[in-house]
Amino acid sequence: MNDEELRRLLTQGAEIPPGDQRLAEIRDRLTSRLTPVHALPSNPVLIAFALAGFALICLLGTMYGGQKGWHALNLAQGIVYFGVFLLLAVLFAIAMVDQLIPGARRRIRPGWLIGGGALLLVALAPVLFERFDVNRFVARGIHCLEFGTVCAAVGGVLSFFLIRRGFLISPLQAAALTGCFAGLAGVTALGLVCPQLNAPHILVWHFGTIAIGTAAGALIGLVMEWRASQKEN
Amino acid sequence: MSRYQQADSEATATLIARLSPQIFQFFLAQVRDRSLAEDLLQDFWLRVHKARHTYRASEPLLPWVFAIARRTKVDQYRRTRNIKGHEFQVEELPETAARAPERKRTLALTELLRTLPAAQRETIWLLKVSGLSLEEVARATGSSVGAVKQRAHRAYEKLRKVFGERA
Repeated sequence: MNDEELRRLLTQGAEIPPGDQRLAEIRDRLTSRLTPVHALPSNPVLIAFALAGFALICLLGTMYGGQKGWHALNLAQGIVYFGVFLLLAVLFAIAMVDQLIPGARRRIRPGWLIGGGALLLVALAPVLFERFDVNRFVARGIHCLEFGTVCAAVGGVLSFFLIRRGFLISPLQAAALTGCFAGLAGVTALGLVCPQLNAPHILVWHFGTIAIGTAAGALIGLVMEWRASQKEN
Repeated sequence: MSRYQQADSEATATLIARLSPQIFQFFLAQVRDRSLAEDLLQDFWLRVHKARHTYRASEPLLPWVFAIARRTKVDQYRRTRNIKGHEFQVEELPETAARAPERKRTLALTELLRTLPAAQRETIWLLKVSGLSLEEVARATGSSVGAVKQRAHRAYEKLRKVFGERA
């Protein structure tokens, strides 16, 4: 059997219409609750909102904790370190906004972005920060993790207001991306505040914020998926 | 669709009448139960209603519609799986099941598609029966054009093999 014959067979399709009574029922239900709605803003506007939230977290973080981290870095370190954060924030914002619209073109694969971003950051820390000191590792680091997690939580709440306007086809992916984006905002705020340029400290206590944010997001996404599968309309 | 967003009831009725047969067939091909497919169709329209603000007039309609239909089907599948997981047998079944009537070896479309894994069946249905383009199927299923091509190719290979065995 060649492709053409197979194609002809498939396009013959069984044309069975739905019941008229059910269609009338659907029509009545929908038309009885009709109200005008505004379509979501364009993607660039939504991405700009997400990035504004990101900037707000960084601003609030530095207002609370100061800018010692920024001053501790030399110019090259500052450009590379915060440049990578900014690049990842833009990519995560794009991927997050793609999740809001059913059937939207997926420009970035969420799994690849989360995995690639994690690898990039893990590779970046030892290259940028040559100090390797594990003296009083936990005592010095736990406050950073707390601060970063609080910033990420605020970022997560802000991002939630953005994603709740969409219709999530994959709540797990959308929530994990949002959690990762919020964690990234927390790490950036932490980078501006914390003056410790120590690779293990950055890897564990700073980047741990992203891991916590992503895990929390994924957990919320799983709960959303579970609830959606329980709900009867 | 834009008029539906503006709460035009006539446009809403037209949209339901035009899209429902295609969506119903999509569900029927997946669940093979007319009553369940009608329930899914109703569930689908309620979701469309909730999500209508996410449609943009500049974007193609079918990927948006089928992405929601697909999600409806996934949730139904999980719901059914949960219910089946909690069911238990209350009566002893007869040791030998009643003999099923001889089935005709027809090559009806649905029977042919039944031989495919769910993802391939869905791709072939969207491409060949619903008439979506590769790009539109990729959007509706949240995957890349390359992945859709690969799934369609594998489905074709399998269908050709099944057809060869039956013919």
